[in-house]
Amino acid sequence: MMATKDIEAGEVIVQVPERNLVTMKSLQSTYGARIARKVNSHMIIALHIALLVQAPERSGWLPYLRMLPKKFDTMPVRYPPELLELLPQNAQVHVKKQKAKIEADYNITLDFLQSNADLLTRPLQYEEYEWAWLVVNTRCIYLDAKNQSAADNIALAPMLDFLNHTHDAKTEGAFCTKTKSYQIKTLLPYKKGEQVFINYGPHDNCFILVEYGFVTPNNPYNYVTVDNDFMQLSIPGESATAKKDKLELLDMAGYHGDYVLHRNDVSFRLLAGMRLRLVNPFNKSSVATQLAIAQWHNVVNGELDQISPENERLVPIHIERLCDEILALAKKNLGILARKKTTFTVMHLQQVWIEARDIILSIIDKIHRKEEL
Amino acid sequence: MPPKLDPNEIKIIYLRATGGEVGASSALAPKIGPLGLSPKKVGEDIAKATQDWKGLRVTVQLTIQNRQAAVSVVPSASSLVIKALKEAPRDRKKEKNIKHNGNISLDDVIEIARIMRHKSLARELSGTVKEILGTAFSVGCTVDGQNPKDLGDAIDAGEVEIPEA
Repeated sequence: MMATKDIEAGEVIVQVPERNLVTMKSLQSTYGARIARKVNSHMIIALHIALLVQAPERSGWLPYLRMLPKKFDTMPVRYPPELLELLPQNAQVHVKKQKAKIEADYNITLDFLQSNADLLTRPLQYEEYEWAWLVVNTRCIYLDAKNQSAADNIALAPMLDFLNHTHDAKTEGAFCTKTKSYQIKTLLPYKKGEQVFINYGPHDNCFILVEYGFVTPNNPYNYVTVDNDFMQLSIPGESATAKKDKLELLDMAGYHGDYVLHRNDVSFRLLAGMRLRLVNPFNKSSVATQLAIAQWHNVVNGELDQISPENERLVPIHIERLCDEILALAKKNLGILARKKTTFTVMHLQQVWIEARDIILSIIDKIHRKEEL
Repeated sequence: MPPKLDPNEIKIIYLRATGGEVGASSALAPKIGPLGLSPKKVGEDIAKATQDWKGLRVTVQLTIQNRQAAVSVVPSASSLVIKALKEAPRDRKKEKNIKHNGNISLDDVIEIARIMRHKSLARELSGTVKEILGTAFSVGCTVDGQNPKDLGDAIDAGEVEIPEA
């Protein structure tokens, strides 16, 4: 959307009156008590959209439905398998979860429709439902509906969903009880003729790609996950039992998994995990190991800087090994993508991997310059 | 399922720190370490962000969004009053039981009242000014050479005028 006049910081840029918001509450008047307990807001709004599409002229929502995208082919959940496997590993897991959720929601909805068949004009196909589900997923806003579960705090706000996202936009969205409408304020000024952006939230590109189907340039929230590589990393002198014990220890301390690299920055969790992995030999019953574990707890709690100079010397060496794995994968995938026909999807994937590669290179560079991680 | 503009994505942590000093990592680590943030680096960021408050105890707000922390100082009446005293920075470790027996001007107090206005429940600025005078009294300093309490009484009696905003 474009600013038609100069906008000052703090001004309300868009407001949608309560009667135009699609929420669980507003739909209860349409479907009444028929809505079952196990149906959450996302499902019921998706079903509502799917039903509107089945009989568009009856609803008065035709202008809105016409504005919606016909297809969601840039959403990873709709990727063909050969593109899906080119996503980073954490994004693939994310897509699988999303797909399972759509399928589960579809089945619950079918159950619901069995006893309410009069709502339908024709049977609801999976593709139709998936499309409607994705409409809700890519366009819903957070609306605090008191005393409901987290999945219910959403609403579809027509018109507002045409605002695009950038990570540097500063906006506040909330329901205003005075005007009885959902309002978005911008905390940054805009000049006449500029595009006005909102901020969907502090998300990295993989997350934005899977949930909304696009990526943004220079996203400061980007990171690379190395969980799998960390778990599979073989460390000289570490036995299988030692590794198992260490992972258990990490789990108990709350430091298992979520190991990431940011540009120029290794997450404290990964450092903590790596420091423990590099305690070798590791034998739970020996005094030396118990001592090292105690030291490790002290490091994690900020009482000490390192377990031992030798341990600290090894950390960057093994982090670089993790980096090399990801770097090789990035190069391989970029090679495959370069041979594909250029579509939006391929461009999104290319950007994700170029960013991942640059993050890894920044870390390797830091290690080579012998800077503290 | 990611609704747009979800305020729960942002996590805010408050802590007390001595301005301009890198505090002990052990105070930060249990809170922010599990979030993947380095206690050492965040400690340095806090020291940098509190340069203007050297040697004073201030409340620091950490705004954590998707594994990234931004540091800001939360103004509090007592820190602002002590800052207005413009005392030479002290080493808190060497000096104990610090007394603040300096003097600030009424204009300083009004300026502080304006900063704290949004937190105050007073209807008029003069009410907030009186709150700050109370803080000045507890800190132990004088305002325009007078006891802050006397000045508060003078405002009530209408002898001293306070602007409306």
